[in-house]
Amino acid sequence: MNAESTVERILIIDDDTALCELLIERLQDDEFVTEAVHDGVRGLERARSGEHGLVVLDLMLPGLNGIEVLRQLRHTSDVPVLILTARDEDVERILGLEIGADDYLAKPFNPRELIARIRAILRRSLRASGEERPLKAGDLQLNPSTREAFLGQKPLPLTSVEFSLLETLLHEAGRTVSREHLTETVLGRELRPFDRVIDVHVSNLRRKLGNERIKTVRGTGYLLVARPAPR
Amino acid sequence: MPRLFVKVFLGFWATVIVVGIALVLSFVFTPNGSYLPWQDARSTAREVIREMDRHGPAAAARVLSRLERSQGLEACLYDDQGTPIAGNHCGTFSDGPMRGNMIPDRPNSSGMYRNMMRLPSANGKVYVLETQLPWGPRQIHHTVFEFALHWLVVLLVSSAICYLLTLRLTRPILRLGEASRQISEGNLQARVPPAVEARRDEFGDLARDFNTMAERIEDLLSSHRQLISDVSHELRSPLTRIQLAVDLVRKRGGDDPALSRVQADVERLEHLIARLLTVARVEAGAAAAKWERFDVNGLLAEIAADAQLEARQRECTVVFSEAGACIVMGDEHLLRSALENVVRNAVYYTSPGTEILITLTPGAAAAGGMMVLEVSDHGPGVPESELLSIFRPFYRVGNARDQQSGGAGLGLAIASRVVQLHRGTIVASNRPGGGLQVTIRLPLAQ
Repeated sequence: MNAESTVERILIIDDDTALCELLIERLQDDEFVTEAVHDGVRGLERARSGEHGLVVLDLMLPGLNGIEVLRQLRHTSDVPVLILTARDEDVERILGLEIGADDYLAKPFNPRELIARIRAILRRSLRASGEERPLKAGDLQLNPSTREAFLGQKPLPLTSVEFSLLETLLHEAGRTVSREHLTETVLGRELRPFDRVIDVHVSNLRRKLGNERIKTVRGTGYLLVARPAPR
Repeated sequence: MPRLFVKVFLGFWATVIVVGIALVLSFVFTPNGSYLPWQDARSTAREVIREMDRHGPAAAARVLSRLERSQGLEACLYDDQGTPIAGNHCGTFSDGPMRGNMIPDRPNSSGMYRNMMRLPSANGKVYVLETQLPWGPRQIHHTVFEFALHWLVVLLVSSAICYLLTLRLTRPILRLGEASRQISEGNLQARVPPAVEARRDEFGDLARDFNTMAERIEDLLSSHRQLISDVSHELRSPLTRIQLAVDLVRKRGGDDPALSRVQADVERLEHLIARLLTVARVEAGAAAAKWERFDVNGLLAEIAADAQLEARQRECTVVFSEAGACIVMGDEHLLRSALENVVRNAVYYTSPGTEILITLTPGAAAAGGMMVLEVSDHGPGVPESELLSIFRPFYRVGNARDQQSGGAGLGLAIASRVVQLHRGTIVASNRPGGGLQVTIRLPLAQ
């Protein structure tokens, strides 16, 4: 994928056409090229095209709902996804994050906040080629250049957020990393009160790593336990 | 084992046993004469002796042979010296009349026992007739072992019958109870199993009615939830558009202070919608709460950390004194929003640069104890007369809670509902040094 040509293109999947028009206009001011699609099936098709650097996905869609779009999209693509929801159901947001969304924003949102989050996500996916040296801790190995992770000999299928999260935890292996720090480095934004996005990502990562490798330091943050590589 | 089952079972069983005892007793205490084989033996003996008197031993032997043919009973006639006179089987009655007119100890292998009768004849001679009789009820309690064995069989058979009967009677009730308990614990899909529904009796009627009722409740709640979700969507979509439009106007150089007001009002509206939805969810949640055990101490540590982030903007600190694990039975999601509301309320009203104290004390769990949670701020407090009212929805304390405070007056109302749902209490009081203290008591899980 050629990052340079796709990074500024944003796909909005939302059935509120008036909102989409306003968003296109607003994002234009910040030099994003935006395309809007109003139903799930078309949205999934466009999101799979690989032409966009980021997808803004509303969870309440006619036809195919947002969760389903995201689930199917993740089979073939790891394009960053920011989900929007007007409903008050935490379950839905958490489900979205678990399936592989990068972040979420509740409607109504402040447009500046949306743009800040879009930029943060794009920054992280660009940072991909920053460091070359592989990171190791026990039987865990990360290749930041290729964004591949290995547990023992087996490759770990990680989403982009999970990779960044594991990278940050590995840098500080054996030490507690605060939730604030994790949110800032991984999600590229400040931790808000009652903000659980980072915790959902940690619990996804924990499930993939297994074996209680990530410990919760209650009220503070998380800690990666380094284990010796098995002989 | 369920109490109802035990009660009905014991009731049945006791009845069966008492009836059984009564029956057996009535047999045991029946006079000899009423037992037919005895009567027969006596009249047979008289007949044999009469024939002996009149026609001699050959006639007596004919009578005995007839008896053997017709009833399969063996017999032998002796004189009073014990010398056999008539009968085909005198050889087998070897111990003979020496034992007198006695009932022997045991039956022989074909279930008979021997009986001896010493009877006088019409002409004054005394004869002894030894004969077989079927083993009768007088011999029931012959040995302790047999007595015990007999009763064991009676107990086993009667208990098996009673068990089945009781099962048939109580099972539908237990199933019904199970379904209603599940529904009250939040599993609205729970139903009485079809096996009970299919019964053609009152239990079947009850089960069908119960299931219809459960379906209606489920429908009502799900349409209620759908409504909440639709309303929130419908209200929030235009709010999102307004925010975007305002931002666009601003971006294009329209720096009118009126825009800031629109912005602030949009935020206030959103705040209000969120709180209203929470209230609606708490109400619906009361019926659909998911009851599970969880640690309030851990929950509070998270809430305190979040509140600290919020408090920092006002240069305040949140001090949480932990208490170790405090296991409570309840809906974690609902309790989280309740405790969050109380703590955020404290962060909101405490004076800049002061501390918010959160203290958790676990009671003794064994004695059905309560955990006590105190949240204190260093704010203006609340007039004594209004300490109860602050838990009412949309209530505003005259002096402190103006429009500027931004709250919709729902936080404590939500907390109060949730705490009541968990059979706890919530009380507000003014601290001696100034500031409000909210005390929440919740029952600990057993």
